[in-house]
Amino acid sequence: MRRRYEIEGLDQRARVAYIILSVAFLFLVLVFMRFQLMRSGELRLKSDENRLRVFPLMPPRGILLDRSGRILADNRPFYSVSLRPGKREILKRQLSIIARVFPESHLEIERILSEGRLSSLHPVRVLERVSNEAIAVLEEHRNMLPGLKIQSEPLRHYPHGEALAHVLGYVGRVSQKEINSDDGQEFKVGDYIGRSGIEAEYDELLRGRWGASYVEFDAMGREVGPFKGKEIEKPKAGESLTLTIDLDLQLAAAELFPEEKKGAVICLDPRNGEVLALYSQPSFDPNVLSRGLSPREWSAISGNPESPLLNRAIQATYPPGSTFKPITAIIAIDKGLFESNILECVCYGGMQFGRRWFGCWKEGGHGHIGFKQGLAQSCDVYFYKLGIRVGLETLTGGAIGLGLGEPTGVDLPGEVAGLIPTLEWYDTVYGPGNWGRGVIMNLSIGQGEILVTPIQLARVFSMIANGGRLIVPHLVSTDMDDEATMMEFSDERSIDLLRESLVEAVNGEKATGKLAASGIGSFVVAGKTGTAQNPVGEDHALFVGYAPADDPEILCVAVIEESGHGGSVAAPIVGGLIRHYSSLHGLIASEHGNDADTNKGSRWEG
Amino acid sequence: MPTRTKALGGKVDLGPFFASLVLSLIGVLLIYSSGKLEFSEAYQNLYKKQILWLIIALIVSYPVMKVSIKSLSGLSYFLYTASVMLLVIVLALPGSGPHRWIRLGSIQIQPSEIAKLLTILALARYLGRKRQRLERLTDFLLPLIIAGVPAFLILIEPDLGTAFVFIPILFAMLFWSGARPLYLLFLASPLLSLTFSSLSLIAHSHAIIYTILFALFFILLVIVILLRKPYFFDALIIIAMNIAVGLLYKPLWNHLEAYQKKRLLAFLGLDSDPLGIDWQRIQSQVAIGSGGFWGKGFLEGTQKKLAFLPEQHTDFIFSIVGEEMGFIGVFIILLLYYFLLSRSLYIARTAPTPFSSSVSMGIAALIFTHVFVNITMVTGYLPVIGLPVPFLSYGGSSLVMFFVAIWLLERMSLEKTHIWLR
Repeated sequence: MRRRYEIEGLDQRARVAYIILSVAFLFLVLVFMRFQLMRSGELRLKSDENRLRVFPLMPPRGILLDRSGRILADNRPFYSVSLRPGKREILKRQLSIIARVFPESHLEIERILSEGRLSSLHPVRVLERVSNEAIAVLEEHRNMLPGLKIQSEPLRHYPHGEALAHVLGYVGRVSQKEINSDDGQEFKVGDYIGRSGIEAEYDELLRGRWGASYVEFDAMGREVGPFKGKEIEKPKAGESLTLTIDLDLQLAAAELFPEEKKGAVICLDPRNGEVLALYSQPSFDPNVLSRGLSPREWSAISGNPESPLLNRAIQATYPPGSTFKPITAIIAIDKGLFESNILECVCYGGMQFGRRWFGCWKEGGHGHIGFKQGLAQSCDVYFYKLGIRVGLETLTGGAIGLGLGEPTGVDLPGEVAGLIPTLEWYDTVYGPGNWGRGVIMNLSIGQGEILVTPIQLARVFSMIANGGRLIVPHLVSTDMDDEATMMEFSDERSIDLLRESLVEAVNGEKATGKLAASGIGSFVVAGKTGTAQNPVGEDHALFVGYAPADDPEILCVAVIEESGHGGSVAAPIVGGLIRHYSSLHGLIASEHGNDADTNKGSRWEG
Repeated sequence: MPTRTKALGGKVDLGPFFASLVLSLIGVLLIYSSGKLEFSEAYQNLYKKQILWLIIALIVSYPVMKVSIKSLSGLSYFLYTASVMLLVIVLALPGSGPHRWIRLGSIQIQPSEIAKLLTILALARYLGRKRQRLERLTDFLLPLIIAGVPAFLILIEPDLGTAFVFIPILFAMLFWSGARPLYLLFLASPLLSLTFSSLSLIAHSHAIIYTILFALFFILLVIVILLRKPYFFDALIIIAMNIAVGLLYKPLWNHLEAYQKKRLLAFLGLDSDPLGIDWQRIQSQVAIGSGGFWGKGFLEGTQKKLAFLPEQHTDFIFSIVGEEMGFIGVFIILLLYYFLLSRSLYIARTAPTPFSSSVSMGIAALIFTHVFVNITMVTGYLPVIGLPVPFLSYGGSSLVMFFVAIWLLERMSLEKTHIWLR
């Protein structure tokens, strides 16, 4: 060291420098310890999440079958066509090829291109709901369409469309609100959910469980391939459901229903409550609704004054009209009015009650008339008198006891209760005592404030037909026997008389329901007509019938709105359905049936 | 003289050189790995270029060893002036975008890399003068100008990261040459004032905190001045400068590039932008953390392969170390740097002349700043200002410059031995 330069305190400064250096490197080591030792698990997870994308695999929705295994609803793949992202010119060339192959698709090439430009990663959607044939044509041109991507997705398909719409309902995409709602159900975006009918009632069963595939992606969103170490979880298909519906009968119901009319038809097996057919008109096409509608299309359907979405079999209420008379009779019998002798009366075409004249539908009157003919000819005066004898409280209590005024429990959503106006009801609506005692007159013939649904009528009449069991109507063949309630009547003999009267009401000389039995010879039809007063239009026609009368297998209810007399409009429909059922299942009078009963009925041969 | 040097070559402390060589070879491996991407082949040949650059760097830098300290010292002002000229030229070159490179045939040269080293030489020359004192504020004027001119030229290229490096180098060399800590605080105070005052106005949500910090800092400065009783004139200037800076931050802020403002804001958590600039920081942390202790294995980094990491072959190459080599790899590399730097400090301490001591210190500060800033940036503790990590990052100019720096160090070490043995 020639040149002395020992600057003062160099050693001290060197120590400071070493300390700074060492502290800095210690800090760096600690930083890496924090990330790589303490937070490595969390960050490793993040790095997996970074590149992992889960593709939910939609489970096929359970298939709906009729009682003999015919398909009522299944899933059809629908195809959508997309193009992989790419340069504008390339996309445009491919789009023009597609447009040439499908001139009917009216491709808006410019619009698709501008949408495609928004995202350079995702495929450009070109066509939706493309048919199999169209896919085949596209596949032929694949060499000219390098970016072609065809995806299939299941879409609910209802082969019988409107005929079964109210039974099956329809499905719809789950909404964001439903996904967010915390009702214990897990939905995914794109999930289909039953919106009405069986689809809604058994939605959880039908839906199945989602699967998933795990795919590795890079930072630019490009697919690398299956994610190592994560197996595909296969979706679990929804369960198939066999309904009690008889497709032939159902189609016949839709067919027989007069066009341009509104109303409902129900056929069920009165022995166990299995619904064989249930049709409501006007109907809708569930295929269209399941596909998804634009808000305009939707409001056109939901705002339609004809209410096609209303299931009139379970959601519309009607005054039962004369179909209520057998119910009045049951309640009278149960009160013991017929125990000593069968009541008789004279009908002069009406009767005075208080200050009001209550007319019979037959202006000339029925003359001297007993129970059987009173019911067969639907004499109003006979039932006025019976109603007075029964009394309001007993009548309404009895009706409620027979399941009226409350939902039947059928496995369809949205069933309404109807209305049995009790004493308390009148007191609430009109003020205590502020209503005429004449209401009993109207109620006993099924007019006035009383309202029933077609399915309620079917249930009560099933009870009459099957010998006293109040069944629960149902569409899915589970063991519903436990649900049925056995009704005990004090006067069984008179109930038999009621059944005979219902045979007479169809087959008697002056019967109102004659048309229900036309063309039927090998077995006996029993039933009751009804004409419900309609304050805003023509009367509603009702008919309830069952057959064979001695051991019924089928019971039908028909309600045709605003079409006049039950006997002339509704009865032939029920007759037609029973005839159809018979042609399918070969109804004959049971050999061990009551001869006395069957002899009462007149028969047409052939 | 050359023959003698050669004869004594065996006594040279080649530790820094070998540490750098090992780091460079690891760097080549990392660059090779950074090219192994799932979808892009754009970077797959970069490692070949880096190998070529490594060879060039070794060839180009070795002759530095042959230049005596005396002639180096003699040439230092001239070389410095030349490098400043280069910086001016690069700014004057036509073309849009950052003015950082000069094209020479097929290769691009980054004059800022040259300027870093030559500024160290010029500073060392000035600070190593006989009877150079660092007592009055005026004594700091020339060193400030020597470092400030190239730093400013680089700042307006714009290259914030490289310009920033001049600050720690200058402070380290001043400290090493005996500047009182009080005066280093004086010099730093305008910068600190700038930081606090600008933050108080940029950071809307935390404005009050920064305003209070600024006030506290200012009060502290005044107290220190009162206690330590520096020259009255110096104290006056410092206080005036701090006040001026408090007022001038705004034009300076407006001068920053949009992306730099964005980065600063993102770092301060004022610009939540998870897919933008903060994305880099998060993905880099995820990469490093997911490597765990042993790493995912060479070439196996998923963050890297799937291109979640930004700037993988340059500024963020350390995240590949973290992801693929794990904590153990990081630790080994940090040890290599620590070894290199402590060697440099030792050389600086035992250097025969103030000039060579200062140069060694400057080089140590240069390497340290790059390593420390880059790693704190990659781990998300500092804003992403864009500094490569020495020897590992891809880049020819930087590699050549660092090897020249290493051979300079070796020369200092050689002459010490040389004199010692004489």
